[in-house]
Amino acid sequence: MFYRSQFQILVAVLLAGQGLAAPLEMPGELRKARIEMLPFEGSLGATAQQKVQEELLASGDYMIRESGGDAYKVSAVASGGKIRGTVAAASGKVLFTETYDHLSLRINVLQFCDEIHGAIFGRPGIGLTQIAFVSDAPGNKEIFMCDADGSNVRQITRDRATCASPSLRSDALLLAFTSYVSGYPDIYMIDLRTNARRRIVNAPGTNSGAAFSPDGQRLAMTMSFAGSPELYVTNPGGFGGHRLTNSPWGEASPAWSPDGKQLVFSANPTGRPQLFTMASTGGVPTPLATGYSHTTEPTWSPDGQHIAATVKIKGRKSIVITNLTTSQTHLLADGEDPCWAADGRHLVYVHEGKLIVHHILQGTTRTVISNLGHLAQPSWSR
Amino acid sequence: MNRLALLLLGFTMLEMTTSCKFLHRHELMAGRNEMYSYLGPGSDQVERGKFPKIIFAEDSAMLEEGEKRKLAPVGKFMRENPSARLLLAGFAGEEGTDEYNRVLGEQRAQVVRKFLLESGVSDAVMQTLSYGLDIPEGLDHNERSVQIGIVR
Repeated sequence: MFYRSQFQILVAVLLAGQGLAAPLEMPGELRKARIEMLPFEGSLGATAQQKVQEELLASGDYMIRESGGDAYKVSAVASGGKIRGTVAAASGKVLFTETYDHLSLRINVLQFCDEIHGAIFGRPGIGLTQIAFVSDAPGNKEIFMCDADGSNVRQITRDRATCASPSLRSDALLLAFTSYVSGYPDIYMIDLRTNARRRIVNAPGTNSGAAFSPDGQRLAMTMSFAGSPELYVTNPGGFGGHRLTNSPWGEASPAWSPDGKQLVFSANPTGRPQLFTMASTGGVPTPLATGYSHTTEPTWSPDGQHIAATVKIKGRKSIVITNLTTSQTHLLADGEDPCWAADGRHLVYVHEGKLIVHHILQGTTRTVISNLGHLAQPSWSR
Repeated sequence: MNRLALLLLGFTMLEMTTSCKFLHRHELMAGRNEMYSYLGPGSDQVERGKFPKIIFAEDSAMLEEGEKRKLAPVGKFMRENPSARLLLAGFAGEEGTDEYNRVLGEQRAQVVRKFLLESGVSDAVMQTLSYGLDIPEGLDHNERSVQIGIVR
């Protein structure tokens, strides 16, 4: 009772031998936006303006102009603990005015910049998003988290046993992960508001690869208690388990489509792991050819149009992005374990043990964490 | 009459205690058998090294003929030691990404489990787990293999 047709598998395997590379196509909206910074007022105006400008430039999404013409206008009043920011279109029409009154100037600046991004690009910026990842700095692998720019690093688990495969819920308030603290690979959930932690899956065999659905209502994972690693979907408490696959092919690393209706995962029918997509309520898996013969760890872009994954070519691991509309696959960079950012413009991955954030369109990368041992498996909140 | 009732009661109780020891795999979310409560790194309840490692080809979970022969002594041992339990630990080498390695290790452990089932070892006395690429404390670095430990 395997997959849809032997023929499709054969085709996928044949295609897998050829490296199909193609130019990356991204929607036209992802160009730099022109911005004019009007002088910020208020007692902290100069400081706030400098920080906002740094953040906007660091994002790689903007060109900051001196004055005049066809540019969005950003202005603010900053004093006490607040920033009151305004963004207007080139025509002068005010797009929004908002007051930010959080605990720190940095958070006010980040939220203002996220909303500038939202007003201009239609999707909020990622300055306040969180990345969970694995680090072996403590001597064994534990789960850590940081802000999107690599600051505010904190250790989440102290199991003194291997921890792996973190998955943040979209709002970064819950974290699912695998830990061997019981002696076995089991799945746990931490509420990051309270640090309360529960074991949610401890079936016999190996339990791992937990992945939150975009709406936070379901978890996909691999469990092997039925005699072979298969995909299951449960609720975030680990209950209501529903089995999705039934084959000897070792389904692993499920990832959700942004609408929650599909899963993409890797399976290994021939000793050459490749990707498959499937309805998240169960159904017949469909092969997804990347053109490479060893593809694993997929992640689905927020616009639903692209899947990034890791390929292994002659022992070296690289990131590829497959365009689902054109079926073209583009080799992005050396590295592994990619995860999309909420804005669909950035990808985080690991290369030589360091955490790298890649601006897909600009083609620029930033090493976000480099001095915390060997890193792996980042998961990015929305 | 009383003696018969007592005997029946005794048999029933014996039946209940014996059946509690075994895993109920047909339950969807059955937890681990408490007999295996802590057999992880540092546990001295697992005897390792009695059986040879079962080696696999890169990216493969196929049990090769030469490796199958290594499993013959395991079936014999289990027949001679009916109270023993086996822990099948799967490993992967530098084959791929972490989660893929973890699942590959489990595939390998399951393949060994199925072979042992066919050679007459009871399902109830075997458990699998995968370490993927990670090396638990107390074990050598083992690529692409399954290691069989004994729990008495």
